[in-house]
Amino acid sequence: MRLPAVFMEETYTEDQQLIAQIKEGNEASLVEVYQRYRPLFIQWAQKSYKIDESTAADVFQDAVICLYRNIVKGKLENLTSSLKTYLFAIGKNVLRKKLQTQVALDHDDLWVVENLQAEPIDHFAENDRQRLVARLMESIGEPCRSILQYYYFKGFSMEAIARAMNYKNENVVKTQKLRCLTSLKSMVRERYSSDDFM
Amino acid sequence: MSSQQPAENRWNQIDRYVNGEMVEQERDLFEERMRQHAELAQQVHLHRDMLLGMEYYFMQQLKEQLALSDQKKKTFNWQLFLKIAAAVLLVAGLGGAAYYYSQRPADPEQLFLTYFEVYPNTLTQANRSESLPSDASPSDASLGDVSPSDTMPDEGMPEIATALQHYETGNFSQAAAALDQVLASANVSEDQRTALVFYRGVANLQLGNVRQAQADLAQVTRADTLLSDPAAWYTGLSYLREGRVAEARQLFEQLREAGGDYAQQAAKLLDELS
Repeated sequence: MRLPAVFMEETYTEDQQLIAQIKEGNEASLVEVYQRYRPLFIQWAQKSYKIDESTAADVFQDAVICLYRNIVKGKLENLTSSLKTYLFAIGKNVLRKKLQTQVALDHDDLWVVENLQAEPIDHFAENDRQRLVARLMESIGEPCRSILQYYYFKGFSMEAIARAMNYKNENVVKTQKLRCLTSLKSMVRERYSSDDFM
Repeated sequence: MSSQQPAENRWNQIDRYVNGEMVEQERDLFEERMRQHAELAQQVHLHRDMLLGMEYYFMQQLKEQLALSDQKKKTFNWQLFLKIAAAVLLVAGLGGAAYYYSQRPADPEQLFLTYFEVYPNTLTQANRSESLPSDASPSDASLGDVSPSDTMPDEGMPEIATALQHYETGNFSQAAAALDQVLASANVSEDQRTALVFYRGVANLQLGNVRQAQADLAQVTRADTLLSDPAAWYTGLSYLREGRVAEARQLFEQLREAGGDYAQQAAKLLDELS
């Protein structure tokens, strides 16, 4: 479905602004997107796939997280449809994989499947060691958790992390990041024998 | 690449390889070295698992934040309803007072909702000093080692004034976004930065971005300024929000013992926690 050109231009600009803000690490903008489209998605999913509200809400949360990851990785630089269209297409694919169910995919959906990350987040932990690392992140403390989040999850540069966390310069951040990874690695090793690394 | 190479260099290479940051030729060479050195291959697999594990953890955290934003909308409405009901019944007499005190929360999250109030904007300009909240203590009038001239937005930094205006008018998502942009700029002094990070932390806590708020408030605590006590107070409240009662209690006890501006509130909250 293509909306009138005038309307498309306005929503396109707002969508581009939201994407830019989300890419800069503005979680409030992501929450705004989430709250804006949540009722619509849940209503649509319940009606179309006969699922309960709780399942639909869970699928939508995973879809928003996938949307976020795609934005951070620069996969939504040039929009050819609205943000809502992308989000719903991601949601359809997450629903299909989560429920192992047949879901009709249109042109936009197929593009998403081929080009974007669109998985239930539980699928991201492929093995026990990855799940262990996730549990250990609770114990690693600050500032390591924030540094690792800024760099690996939010895609910030070292310079941006230094500014955001009030460090002297990017070299300090690099050193601290290395210490954090080494510390996390030691924690993993303590819980695994050397044989488990093979 | 041998195992005798400096650790940082090896880690950086592994990091770049796993993150897909190597160009094709470098990647091919690196993969050949992995085939030749089993230890290197092990390290790469471990690093990959660490990155995927971290990503999984942060995705779960983000999912919790999204779920909390739903809860906050429902919880906020409930709190508003209780306040209106309590006000009506108080006017009616003793029955209202009994209803209010019977609703006193003991649950940590309810305590958070009861005690959390947005910190007033005290980064005053010369012509706004009269706008300080009436219950502000004298120490709120300035930031101690930060002079008003340091905190006044420069002609070149209207962005700070805009961000604080959003904060004052309760548009916290816009305030947090604007503060992100200001703090990403290199034109902010050290003292301004600490204060602005503090306000971003409070805005994030208001928005339910608890982990982000805690990271901001931890920075302020490290900076050791007059905002350290407020930062500790809000950190304690954030722990209550998460149900981390023991950690919250520890912070409130420190504030009570310190005897500063938050001692009385901390003592009162500790009474309700016990």
